[in-house]
Amino acid sequence: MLRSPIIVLLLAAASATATATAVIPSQIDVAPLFAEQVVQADGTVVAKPVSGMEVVVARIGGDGKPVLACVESAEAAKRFLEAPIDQVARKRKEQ
Amino acid sequence: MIRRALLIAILLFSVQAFAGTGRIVILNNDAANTGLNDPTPAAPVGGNSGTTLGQQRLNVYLAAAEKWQNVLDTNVDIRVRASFAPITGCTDTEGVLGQASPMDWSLNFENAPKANVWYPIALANKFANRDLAPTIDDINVRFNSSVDNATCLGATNWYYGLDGNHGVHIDLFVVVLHELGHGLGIAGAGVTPAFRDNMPAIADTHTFDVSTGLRWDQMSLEQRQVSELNTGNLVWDGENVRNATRTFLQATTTLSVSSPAPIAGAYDIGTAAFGPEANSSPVAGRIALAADEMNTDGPSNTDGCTAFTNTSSIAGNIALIDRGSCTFVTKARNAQAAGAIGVVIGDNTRTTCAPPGMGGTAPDVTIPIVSITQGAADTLKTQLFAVNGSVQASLRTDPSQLAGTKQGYVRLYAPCTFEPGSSIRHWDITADPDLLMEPSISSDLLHGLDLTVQQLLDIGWSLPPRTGRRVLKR
Repeated sequence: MLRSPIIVLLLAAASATATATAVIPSQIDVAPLFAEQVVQADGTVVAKPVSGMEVVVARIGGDGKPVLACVESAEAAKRFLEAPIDQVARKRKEQ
Repeated sequence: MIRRALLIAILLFSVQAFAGTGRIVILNNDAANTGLNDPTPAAPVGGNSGTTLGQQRLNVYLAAAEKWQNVLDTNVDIRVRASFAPITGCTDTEGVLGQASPMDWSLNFENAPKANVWYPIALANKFANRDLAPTIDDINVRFNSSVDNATCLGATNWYYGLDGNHGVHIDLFVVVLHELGHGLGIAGAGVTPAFRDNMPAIADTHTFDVSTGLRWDQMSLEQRQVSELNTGNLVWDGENVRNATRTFLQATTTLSVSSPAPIAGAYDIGTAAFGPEANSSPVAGRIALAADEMNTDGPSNTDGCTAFTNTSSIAGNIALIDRGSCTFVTKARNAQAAGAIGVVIGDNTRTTCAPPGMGGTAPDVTIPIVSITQGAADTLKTQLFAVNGSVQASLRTDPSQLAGTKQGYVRLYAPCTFEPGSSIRHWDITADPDLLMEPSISSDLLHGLDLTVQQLLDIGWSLPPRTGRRVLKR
């Protein structure tokens, strides 16, 4: 069976080195999804982590198709959202 | 009953019980005219007969719930708090699709199989044979309704059909199946790799690091912090999954080192977009380190960027070449010209978790070319540089080596820190065919539950008597 067809933004440059890791700042803050707001006895509100939370994020790949990632931390979501798109597409081929 | 007061509208739906008396109950948590109650007309699609957006969304929830209910046995209803609402943060190119979690966790309840271990509340209820937390729902699932807007992920929308014909859109049915899997117990009770109150979740008791021989519940926090990045070595040790691997996973091609014994074994490979596939052109022989001139084409004498100077060593053998300075195609052509029967490219960085895939076009390359990690390449080189050092290896599909496994166990997704996206609560992405609980929720999934059923059996769920093994086929 074929793997995901979501692939492949072949780099034109023959860098032949490890993949470049330019960070593309994400406009999405997923941190609130991993926490719930809890009102304390004194009325202050604190963010309490939610146990076992899994969040699905998506990006549009170079081929116009969505690339998904299910993550369990805001840090992991940020890495997925800010990585070069060719790195998050599966079965990518480097030059 | 604060929770109930917060619900603007609750419509209760359930799917028919197939065994036991428990059902999976979908609690519609959305307000009138929104989300699961959206009255926007919609044409029936792909077996989904709903005629409004809200009906179609709800039908997908119900179909996914029925799929799970068909393979799980419980006498206690599993209540899913379901919603379809805008989730802040979505652009033309990125966005949040949804989220899910068990609503609560329980430990040391009556009939708990293991002491001092957290169970998701739905599973704890099953063992206790009663609802341990009747005022709390069991699973929380929410999806982003904004995906259907042009401003969120552009022209990509949710696909509400039940037939898998989603095209460039996102198959909601598969994503709901996946998220319910987390809610049923493929999850941690704390903020991974930490434990809640220093006690493991049931999934942690099957999370096993083959390089240390320890399960996560046997490790300190510091050990788990290392283990969650131990790419390729973190696995699921449950017997049900282990016994079913051959049903769901196919054999994979590896670099198989047969001697010397200390380094013998199957090494993961990356594949190339050119040259024959290693599984169609198996080769076996001695590994020989390429040697070429250090020049402007390549400053190293092992980068294979110019004609080899040790053709007598390379001819008839498998060439080991360092990555860097020129294209993979150039390296392969130089190796082929020197008489190599295959090419192994050693990566030139430790910041990647897995051997790289290799791009390029070269119809003239007729020998297989694969890549290995820098660590694996260093292992081979150490042997080659030893006195009388020699390495015998083959590139072939090994029927005993299943894709996405390690020592017979199915790997969990434990990417190094440099890999984007992460969660050990998923299968590793080297599994082939794709599995439902891989983190990428691949677009080619066939609506099967595959190894997730066995994973749930490993944490304590059971099959309905009527279901037997028949339903486990992909």
